[in-house]
Amino acid sequence: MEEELKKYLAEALQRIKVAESEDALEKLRVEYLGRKGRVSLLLRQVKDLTIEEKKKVGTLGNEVRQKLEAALTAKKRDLSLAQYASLAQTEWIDVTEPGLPTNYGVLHPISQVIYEMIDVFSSMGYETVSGPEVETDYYCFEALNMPPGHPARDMQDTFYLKNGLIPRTHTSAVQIRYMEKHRPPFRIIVPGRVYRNEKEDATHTCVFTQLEGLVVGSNITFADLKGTLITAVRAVAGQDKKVRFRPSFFPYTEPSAEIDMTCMRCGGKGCPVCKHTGWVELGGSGMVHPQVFKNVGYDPAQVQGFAFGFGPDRINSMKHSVKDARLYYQNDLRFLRQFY
Amino acid sequence: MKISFSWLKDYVETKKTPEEIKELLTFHVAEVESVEPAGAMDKVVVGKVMAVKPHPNADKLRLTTVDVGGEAPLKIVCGAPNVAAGQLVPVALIGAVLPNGMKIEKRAVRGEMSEGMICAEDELGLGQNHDGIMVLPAEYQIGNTFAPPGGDTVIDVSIPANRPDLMSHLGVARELAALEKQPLKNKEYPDATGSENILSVKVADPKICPRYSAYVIGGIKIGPAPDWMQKRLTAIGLRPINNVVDLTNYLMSDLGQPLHAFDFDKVAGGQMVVRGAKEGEVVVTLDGQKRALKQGMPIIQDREKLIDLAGIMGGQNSEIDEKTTTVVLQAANFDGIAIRQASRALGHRTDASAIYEKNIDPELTWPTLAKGLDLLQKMMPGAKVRQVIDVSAVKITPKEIKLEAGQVNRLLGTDLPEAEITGALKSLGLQVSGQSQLAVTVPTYRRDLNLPQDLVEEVARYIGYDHIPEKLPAGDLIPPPKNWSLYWEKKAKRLLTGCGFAEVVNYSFNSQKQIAELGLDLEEYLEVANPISPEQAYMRASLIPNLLVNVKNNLKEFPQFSLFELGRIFYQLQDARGERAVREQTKLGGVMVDKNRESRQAVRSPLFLKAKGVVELILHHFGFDEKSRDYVHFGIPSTTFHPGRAAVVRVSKKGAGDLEGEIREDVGFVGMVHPALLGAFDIKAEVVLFDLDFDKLGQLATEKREIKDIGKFPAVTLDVALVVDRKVLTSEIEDALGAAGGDLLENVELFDVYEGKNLPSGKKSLAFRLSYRLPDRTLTDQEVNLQHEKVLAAVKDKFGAQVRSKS
Repeated sequence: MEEELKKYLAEALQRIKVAESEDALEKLRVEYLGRKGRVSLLLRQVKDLTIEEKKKVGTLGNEVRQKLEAALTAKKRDLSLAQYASLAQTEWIDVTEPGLPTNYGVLHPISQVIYEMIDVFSSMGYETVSGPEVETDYYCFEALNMPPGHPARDMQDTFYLKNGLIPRTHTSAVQIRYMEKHRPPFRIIVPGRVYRNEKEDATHTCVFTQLEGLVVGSNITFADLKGTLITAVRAVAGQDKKVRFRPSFFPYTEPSAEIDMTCMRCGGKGCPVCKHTGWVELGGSGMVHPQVFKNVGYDPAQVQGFAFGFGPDRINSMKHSVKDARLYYQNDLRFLRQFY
Repeated sequence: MKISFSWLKDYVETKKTPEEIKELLTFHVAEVESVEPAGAMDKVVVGKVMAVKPHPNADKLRLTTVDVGGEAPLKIVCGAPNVAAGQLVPVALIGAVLPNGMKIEKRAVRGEMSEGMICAEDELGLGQNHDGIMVLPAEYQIGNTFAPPGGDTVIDVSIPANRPDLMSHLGVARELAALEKQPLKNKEYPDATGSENILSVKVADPKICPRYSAYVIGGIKIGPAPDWMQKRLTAIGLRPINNVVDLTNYLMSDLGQPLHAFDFDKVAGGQMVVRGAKEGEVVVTLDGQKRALKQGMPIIQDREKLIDLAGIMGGQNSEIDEKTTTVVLQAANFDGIAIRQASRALGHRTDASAIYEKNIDPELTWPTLAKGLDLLQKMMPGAKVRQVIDVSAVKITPKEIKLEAGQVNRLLGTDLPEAEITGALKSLGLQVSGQSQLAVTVPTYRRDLNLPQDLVEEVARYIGYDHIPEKLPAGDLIPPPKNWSLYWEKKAKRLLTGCGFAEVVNYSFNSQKQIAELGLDLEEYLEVANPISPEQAYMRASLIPNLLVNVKNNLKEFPQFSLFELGRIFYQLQDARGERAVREQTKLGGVMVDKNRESRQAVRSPLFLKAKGVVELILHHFGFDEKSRDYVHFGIPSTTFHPGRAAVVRVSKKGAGDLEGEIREDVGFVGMVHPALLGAFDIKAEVVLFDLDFDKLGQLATEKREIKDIGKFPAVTLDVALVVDRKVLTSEIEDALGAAGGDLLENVELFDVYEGKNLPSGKKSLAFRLSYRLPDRTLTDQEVNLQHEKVLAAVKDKFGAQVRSKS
């Protein structure tokens, strides 16, 4: 019986191999494995064998059955795939044709750079706050240690409204509003629009964006200011960037510092963007002036802090080679859609 | 402030080159904007002659090719006999205006194009020589701005508003000497005395003139100033006039004290009064301008007339001329605020007013006059002081500031030894005494130093900011409080960009015309007092006008697009007491634009529905489910939106407590733009606009969701088309269907709207798909059919609807 089983197996495998259709395979399955198939019939005869032989033949029988079923499945799959063999030719498309545009919009480049900076400063524990764009003289100038007649008021060309209010010339106005309502320690950033009544050119627009930062605590130092700005600039612009500080004057900080960073265009080698110096001005900064603390009711003997401000528009221009800042506010889709 | 390098060397024996001085000043004092050879001429550059060929149409002309460091060499026609290949030459580029007034243009010379001019000495105002072009020595660099050989170097320093002491060669030299640890060579001159009493000076208002000093000097002979003085003045950009005027300009730039010289014989009655002007008084200044004065502007009068717009510009009627023999050489101290206000009000800023504005040292008048006399007598030995005047109302003594040495390190985050701190302060000319508790005496010329923090800055900049370490603020790293308006802002922008909208950012201004076109009351908006242009006369009252301008501009290139802006508008409200309070409101505005026009007769607008779909998406993501969103036709006339094709957007929100009930709020509008407004903006396209109150939306929005179970049993869907009058509202039919459907009806969806052929006019057909489902078991056909009949009966009854077909 064993011999016979082996013979069926070899014979069936051979016939499966040369079968040409699924129908033929099905017939073979019935012929060998069907209820009245050859293998089945043969195995029915085991009842006449000894217990030992029964075991042996039974095991072999299962093996044969499994092998045949596996061979049938494999052959069936081969036959099925064969009908797709020529798909590459019969159903060919031109994959070089342009894809259809998906209907996806674009964030304004200035939003993109502001959100990136918010993310960086948020991860350093800064709260994002905002304040009015139309300000009183007090918040825009006086509380920032620029009383009426102060020559520093001329550092910023100011729009005035007929009702005496001022479209803010800087986001620093929000410093005062925040400090009036909060006690240190805190870390905040203030992104927002500012207004300057100046002649427009490729690097000046009369409305633009600023990002202000203010950190106040009991022992915040100028060294902290340096470290913070270097860390933030590198997070936004890349770890290879350098930042340098030089003396400056702002009525609301003392000491004050101008911040330069490595030109993002040329990486510091010198190019027209940085006027061949390798550096570009990033913004202003300094230690909060004691008079500013007094104006918001803080005791300058108890608190120290730093403040900084810079222009996201400029950073974006430098990063993406935008040659004319006015483009940001002209809203031509041919420009905007390049910031995908 | 232009500083001459050779002049600077009068005061300090610097070991540095001008470029090194630039670095030193920039990192320790104030930014140096440029270092340039004196006499550099705009648009005149150094070029190299590459080739010379004969001119085909003129024997005496040549065609040259000149490399000026640009992208391509220039072709220049040249008539000079000495031009030759290889020469370095001064080239006036197109657009240059030469000292003789000649304007360089691109033009053909005898049929050959010339893109500039190679210059001879006389053409550059450097001499009389016109024999040939100037040939420059080899040290000149191709492409550099041209400056005459052997000249001075000018360092342009940007002086901060608090440092008037730096607006002088002496002041800059003082810093340089401190930084280079070199002595300052500042010679003292003896005070003069005079024996006569021919001029009486009265300061009527000491507030505007804290000190008035002058010498009356006779024996004056007006003529040109000596060469060396003219050269220095020319180098820093001043035009030499005559010896006396040049002397005043020289001293101002030398010491930082503005001066003025009156012709004594033109001062009527030998008397001068310094006072604030009366409203409407008029003075004619040196430049011939008649200036009407405002109350309080500093002026000087003699017995008869106004003779000086004090601190800003002298009067024409007391001007010195070639016949002048006696001058009043005035070195006065005027109040910074008074000068700044007058100069701003008159729109007239001069070198003198720019210095006075910053509040200069009253102690400076006396040494300036002493040095002035010395220089004057060298120019004209016959000059003699006849009278000395010093009306000094305010006595200035050097300030003392207490500085705890430890505060320097505490503020800077440094670890400087005390000796280094005191050393820095002393180097900068301050006197320091005491230990750990320092007493620092500040010279009168440093009026900017008043607080210990000011001294900390002095130390910091002296040692250099780059010597201060970099640290990070210590403290617990706590996640910052969530900024909800930023959260919703980012969410809305993400949704809109996902829907294909491009974000725009416009200036926050509107023109008066734009506000009027929206039918808004100008009184309620904020007018700019000093706008750059009429387009920017108001703070913006609405996002809409700028969006429509964006639409107009982009239609030139794109037939279909969508834009949005999120930004503030500004208006003022009158409160109960009649006072106006300014309000800022964040708005979300969007437009969907299609050049293909829609039929205005059709009962539906595909573009409107698209835009409404976007608004729906935003509301949905802001936590307003279908039941809490509503759209109604405009109840009031609008000139912004199309009256029949626009909706008020309304949301409702359950109150927090039982008592509060439901809040219903209008949050904005969505609809087609009114054809008249499109006309006003010259837009030829369909534009659907939405304008949402983003502040309100943000307040009402919630990020909490109630997640419902997903039905396990199959739904039975039945479609039905209802024919109704065209003005029957879909929302009302949906409500009626829903009400009649009870628990069994899970969902109603409109999937087609039809009007026209096969329908009576004035009718429309609305096709709905109704889904029936129960959460706990499978519905039988019988149950569904029974309920469906009820539902149809309800709408037939309520709207006179006819059922067109059903399945």
